[in-house]
Amino acid sequence: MTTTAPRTEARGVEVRVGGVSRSFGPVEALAPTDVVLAPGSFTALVGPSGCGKSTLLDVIAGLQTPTGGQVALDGAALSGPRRETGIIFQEAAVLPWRTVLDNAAFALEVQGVGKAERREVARETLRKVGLSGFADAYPHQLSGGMRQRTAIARVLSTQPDLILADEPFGALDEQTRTVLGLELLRVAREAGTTVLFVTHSISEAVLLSDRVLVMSARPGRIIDDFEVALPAERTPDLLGAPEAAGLVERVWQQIRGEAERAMAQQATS
Amino acid sequence: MSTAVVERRLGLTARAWTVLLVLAAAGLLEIAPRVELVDPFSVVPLSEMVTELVALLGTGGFWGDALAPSLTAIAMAFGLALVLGVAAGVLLWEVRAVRAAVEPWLTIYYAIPTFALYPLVVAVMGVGLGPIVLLGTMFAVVAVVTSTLSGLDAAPRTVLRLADSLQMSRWQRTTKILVPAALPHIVTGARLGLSYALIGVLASEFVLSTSGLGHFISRAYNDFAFAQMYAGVLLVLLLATIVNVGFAALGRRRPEANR
Repeated sequence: MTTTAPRTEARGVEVRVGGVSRSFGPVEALAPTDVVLAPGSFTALVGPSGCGKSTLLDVIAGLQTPTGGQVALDGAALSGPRRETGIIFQEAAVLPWRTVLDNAAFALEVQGVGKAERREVARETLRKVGLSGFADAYPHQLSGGMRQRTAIARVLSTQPDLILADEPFGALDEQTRTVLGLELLRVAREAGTTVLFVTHSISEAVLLSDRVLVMSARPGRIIDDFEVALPAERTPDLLGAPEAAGLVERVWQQIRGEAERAMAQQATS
Repeated sequence: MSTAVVERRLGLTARAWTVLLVLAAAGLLEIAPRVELVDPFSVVPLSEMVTELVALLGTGGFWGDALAPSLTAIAMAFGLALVLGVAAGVLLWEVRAVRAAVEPWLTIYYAIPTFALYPLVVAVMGVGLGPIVLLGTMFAVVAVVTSTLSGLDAAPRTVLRLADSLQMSRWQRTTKILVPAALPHIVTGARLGLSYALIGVLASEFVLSTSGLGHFISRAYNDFAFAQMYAGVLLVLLLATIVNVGFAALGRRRPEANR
């Protein structure tokens, strides 16, 4: 099975978003947007709620067709969902009737990988996310953070070249959120995977990313693009560093006006 | 289920009250005919029903002519209702336009006396196992359809988005995501469906069969063989109870159902 054989040299894909827009009936959710994500980069996307961040993510995932423009991955036009893209949803996408191990093996099962092989891979990815001791547990026996780890283990099992995360840790407490974010950053770096990460938290965006994109209120477009000049080795205490604090402040300045506009829109619509 | 705190009412647990109520009803049924509180010709004491039932269960003819045909028909009606009901439920859920058109009918289905259709069924299919199974299935299937629909409606959106993102085939999506997600509701619907299949089959046997438990009860009634008739009724009650307790046990056995 050539499509599922482990790629020895996994590497991230280049994402090229060219003039992508998306409307729902008369409502323009996403204004024509251009952005290029370098292979292996970790990019955060922040912006006021309802600004089209998730729409952009869905389009890159192939789950929604853009109204205009197109997405190219390593130069090839995207036409729908693809197996090499891993998606981490806001709510942990775990199947409550399956054990942690069989959840982690689920994507490979769907692709037709044999039981022994997929379980072996799943055990390995569970080890990566620190869930080795919980392989036989059911999701309802786990905390929210551990359920999200299970979902991440499933995403890693297929060795994706692109991970799209839609506010993946939004429902978790602050400490768990930081720990899981840094874990995701570590495993993505190890594999060289390209990551696009939507978040509400500016400090989370700064702590984890190489680059922070700021989106405007609806219709969403990218209004700013910050390089994050922090050391490659990220630790929670980095947020106390002056560069990080300064960047958080600058992003916040950009977003505040947009957040106010978004709230005004919601109040009138 | 926690055993640490057991709620008591008037010094007894809920379970003890349940048993006590059944015993009281049984006692009343035993004593009332004997003291002629009710007409002893039309209502026989419970002990006589039990004795008669034990005697009947000892005869091969009863198993072959009454019990076996009914159990076969019930099993077939239930099996058909389960498979067709889940399949129809999934299809209706996927094709929203059809669901919108059909759902009002599903809602009022049990307000319509399906059995009024039995002359039509006999006219088309004649008598025998076929029409009995058909009536039982018709009675049971809608409970399974509606429970499948409500189970699918309750499925988390994220799990459905997962199916899209993994590019699952329609069959994979149905068997690996939709049906397991709806299973807790389907089990409830199946339990109802089994009761309906039992009612449907026995009622059909009353009117259009020459064998089966329903026919046995109806014939005993016409022959004024009330002890036999009540023995048959008692057996129906026992069957229904066993089936329900079995389903309840099945529901408790699945740990993953506790979400």
